[in-house]
Amino acid sequence: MRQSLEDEFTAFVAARGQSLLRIAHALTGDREAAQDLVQGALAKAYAKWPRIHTDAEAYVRKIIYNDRASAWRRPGRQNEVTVAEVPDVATSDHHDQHVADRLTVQRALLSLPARQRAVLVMRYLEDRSVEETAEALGCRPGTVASQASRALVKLRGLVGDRLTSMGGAR
Amino acid sequence: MRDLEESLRDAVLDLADDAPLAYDLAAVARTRGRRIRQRRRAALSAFVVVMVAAVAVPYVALRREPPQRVVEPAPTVTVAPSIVPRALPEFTVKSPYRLPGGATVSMLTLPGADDSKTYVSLDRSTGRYRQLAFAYDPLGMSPDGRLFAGSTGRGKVRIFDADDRTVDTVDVRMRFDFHSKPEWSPDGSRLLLPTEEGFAVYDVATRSHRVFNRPDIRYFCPDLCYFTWLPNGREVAVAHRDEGVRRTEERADVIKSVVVYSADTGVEVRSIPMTGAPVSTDAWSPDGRSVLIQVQQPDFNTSTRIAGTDTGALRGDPITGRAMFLPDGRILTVGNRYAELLTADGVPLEEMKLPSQFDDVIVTVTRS
Repeated sequence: MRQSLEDEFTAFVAARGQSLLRIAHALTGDREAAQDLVQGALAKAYAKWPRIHTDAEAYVRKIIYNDRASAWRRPGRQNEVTVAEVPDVATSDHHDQHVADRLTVQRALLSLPARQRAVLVMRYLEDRSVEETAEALGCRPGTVASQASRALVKLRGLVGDRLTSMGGAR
Repeated sequence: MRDLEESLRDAVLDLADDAPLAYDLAAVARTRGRRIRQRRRAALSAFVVVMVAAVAVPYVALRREPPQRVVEPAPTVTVAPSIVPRALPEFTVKSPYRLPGGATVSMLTLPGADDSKTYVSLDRSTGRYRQLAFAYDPLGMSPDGRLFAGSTGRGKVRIFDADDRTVDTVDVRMRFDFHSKPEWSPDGSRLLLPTEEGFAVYDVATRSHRVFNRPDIRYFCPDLCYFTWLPNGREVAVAHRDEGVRRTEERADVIKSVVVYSADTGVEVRSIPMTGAPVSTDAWSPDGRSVLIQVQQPDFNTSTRIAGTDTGALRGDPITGRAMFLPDGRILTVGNRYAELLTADGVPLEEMKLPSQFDDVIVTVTRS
């Protein structure tokens, strides 16, 4: 690859690497898996950098989401925690209660199927629209909406009562 | 008062904030990226997908325009295999280069530095080859060489002529991966575009297209994931992997069938048991009974085989080089420096030596 393109790739990774890792960690909840996911996506981007360098970030993000979201159909790669019930987290005061809420939701989030989790991360971490999420995941907006809806129902089922008991409103 | 969505937003942010620090990402990505490239190149040279065959002819030789020679079509009937391969004539840009069986070299792709490519295609109106002014990759050339289709890299496909004049631009969210490329129908009237959610079919005459959402295609697509047209020009086919076999990057996907879809309605028409993917639109025999498929071993090594379109049963020995069925039912293979004519069952008829001009050049061959 031409040196200028090599330099461009290095600069891209330096500028956006951390941001991509944040997304990957939100998707996986596992540092090693997050690094592997980002490195894999960047490797694919590097392999065709001359073609995609003008729109590299969108390309890499799309790979990250799709590689992760497609993990649901690859049993060997799943790292979801299957939980019938999210464990209680001990709380003492209001601040601790919020922290406990977040931990509870985190655990519940990581128990969702990868595709539903991808939808939630795009919507809640990146503030992407339904259309943008659909574009990145390669599905229809209606699918995004239904996945998000199902994910929230499932989350509510896992943690809703617990949040309410801790002072949350629904 | 906090509701679930607030807590969810915080939880997602907490997870993001807890990400590891980026360290040496570029170096690792480079190493892995180079491996991907090597693997792709190895796979490409092994199965010579997408209508092309790697053969050998330095670009400088083409630029030099060797002395003009009239290239005569080679004899089309040979009863017994030749012991010594017959040397085929040298290539000249001044006349169509015919291969045995009536096939024609329609385009040469000359690799340049940095993945760039230079295309030299046959202008059938003048009978001469000319260098094209564009460098799309992949590039789909219509059977008559009049139109081209290339992905703009943002899901859109541009259709243009040899002078790089835009005929149309189709926005179909074209799939963007290694194998995906625009695929022209046998008569050149339609163009199949693999999309993120299935496929689209563009009609040249009406300049319109239809999108068929078939999420099953992507879901079941194996490593060798590309479309071919059937000889009737009304159906398209794509391989499906065996979903009962766990996927892993360590081993090639196991192909279970080739599924045929209507190009008019997008509806699945039938499924053919098959252990490989049809290598190209020219891979289907004129009588529809056989197809040349790419069979991939678990270690990603591939070979071309002849398969029946009823049960997928393989017959004959593995074939080397890019293979196609000729209109008379025989098989032509174009490989690295050699071309070969075979019977429909894969029995060798004649082997020919390609001119050394074809070194390091990708040769696209069409049936006529």
